[in-house]
Amino acid sequence: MDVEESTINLVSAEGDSSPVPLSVAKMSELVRSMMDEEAEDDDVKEIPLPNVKSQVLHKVIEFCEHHLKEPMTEIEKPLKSNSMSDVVQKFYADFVDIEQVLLFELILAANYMDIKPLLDLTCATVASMIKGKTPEDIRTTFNITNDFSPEEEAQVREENKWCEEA
Amino acid sequence: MKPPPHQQHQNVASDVPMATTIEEHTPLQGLTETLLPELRREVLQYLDAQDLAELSCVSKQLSKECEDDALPQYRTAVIRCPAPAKNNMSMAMGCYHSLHPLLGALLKIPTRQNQYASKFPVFEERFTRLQAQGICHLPKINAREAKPVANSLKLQQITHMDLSSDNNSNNNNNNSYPQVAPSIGRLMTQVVPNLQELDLSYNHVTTAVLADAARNCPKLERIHLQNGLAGGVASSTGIDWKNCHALKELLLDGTLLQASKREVTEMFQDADNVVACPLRYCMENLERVSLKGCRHYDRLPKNAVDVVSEPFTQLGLIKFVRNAPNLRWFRSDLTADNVKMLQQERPEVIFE
Repeated sequence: MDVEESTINLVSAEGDSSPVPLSVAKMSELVRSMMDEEAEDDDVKEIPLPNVKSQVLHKVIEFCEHHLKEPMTEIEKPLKSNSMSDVVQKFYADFVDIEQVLLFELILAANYMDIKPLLDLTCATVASMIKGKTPEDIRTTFNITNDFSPEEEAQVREENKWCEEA
Repeated sequence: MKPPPHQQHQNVASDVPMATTIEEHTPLQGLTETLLPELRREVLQYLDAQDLAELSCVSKQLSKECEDDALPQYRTAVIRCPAPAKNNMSMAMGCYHSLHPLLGALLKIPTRQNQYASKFPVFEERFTRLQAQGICHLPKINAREAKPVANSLKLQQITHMDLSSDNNSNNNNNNSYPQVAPSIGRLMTQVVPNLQELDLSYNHVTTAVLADAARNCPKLERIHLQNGLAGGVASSTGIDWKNCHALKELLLDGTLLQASKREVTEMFQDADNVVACPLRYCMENLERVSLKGCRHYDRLPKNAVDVVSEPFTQLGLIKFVRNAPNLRWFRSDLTADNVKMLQQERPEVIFE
């Protein structure tokens, strides 16, 4: 019979507690270092993550659990495609097929919890949303205001995009 | 256990400092307002120079961040060559009375020799790549007209040139390939003496274009001619690139190369002739070669449509691997058994 792996509770910003196996929790360097600091304390059962909302934490745990079973392919730089399904396995491509707000929250969570593969995946996903788009498309996608004056815009365009018709 | 102070955990993944707390951001402006510059830099690392060029034009903040020296700073100068209108037959036939359109575009490239450089000082520093979109649409150019430009215009900074066609343009029903006029190919290679990489994919290029590239660009290291058609004399032997002494990479996936009946026998069927192999005239320094789906043909039918071709044989591919002295990476249609055999003979070669 398998010995059941011990668990630890990750506590979200809202105070919700999510029990996760140690191997999953330790994918976060933040959690790992906090556990190491408290190694002599046998009562370490909870790790508070005040910067991570419950919804985001659940996604993070889902990622880590899957990553232990099927590690994510390393993402090539620069991206060769603007479709994440061409870049990583299906699970991971589906994982980041989410609302933009949640995607950015995942980036922050991955950064805060120090989970490099999750940070790679989420940052690459944002890059895939930029890849192949015109400046106007990018502004629309991310709701960015064009703060160039017409003259500045013409200059920056010329410095980056020289084009002539034959 | 006490909650961790945020500040003590700033050195997280990739040494990126922690961003603002989640509650603080404006969700709809996540890219520029949620993420600190360090995290945006993580995002930008996944973009190539062309996408960075587009992103630079979005806002002042992003423009500044795209200037990061750790990101690729080269830019691509583009010459667009639209297809001529169907009723403009004189243009299509090359019977025009004004300056050839390619010359007009080339002469507007800012160089130290013309008036555009002072208005655009970063051009020579930054624009190291040249792309001619739809070059197959250009009519041939008169040698006398091209000569002054070919002699005087030298784009020293250009190291990469992309003359490939749209990859959908030869996936049509009649299996034709858009042809680059030899005089156009010659002119384009004459103005880029420091070229290192040339992409001619999805085109029909004649032996003249291939040989001109070899002659005019002595630093040429990489040639990509994928899903194209190389016309001319015995291109499968590599004779067109015989003078490419720096050639290290040749990607010819899905391309049709010419070979006479005698060459076919020698290269692909005669096991006793161990020397005669594909690309034998240009393989001396080749390190990376891709011949997946590469085929050979004998004669081009009229307009190069529906070319009758045969795949490179296993014997031909095996002979190439055995003869290419500096080969390090090879992609082809070799069978698994043959790859296994060759891996024992050439352990330094990576087979994909």
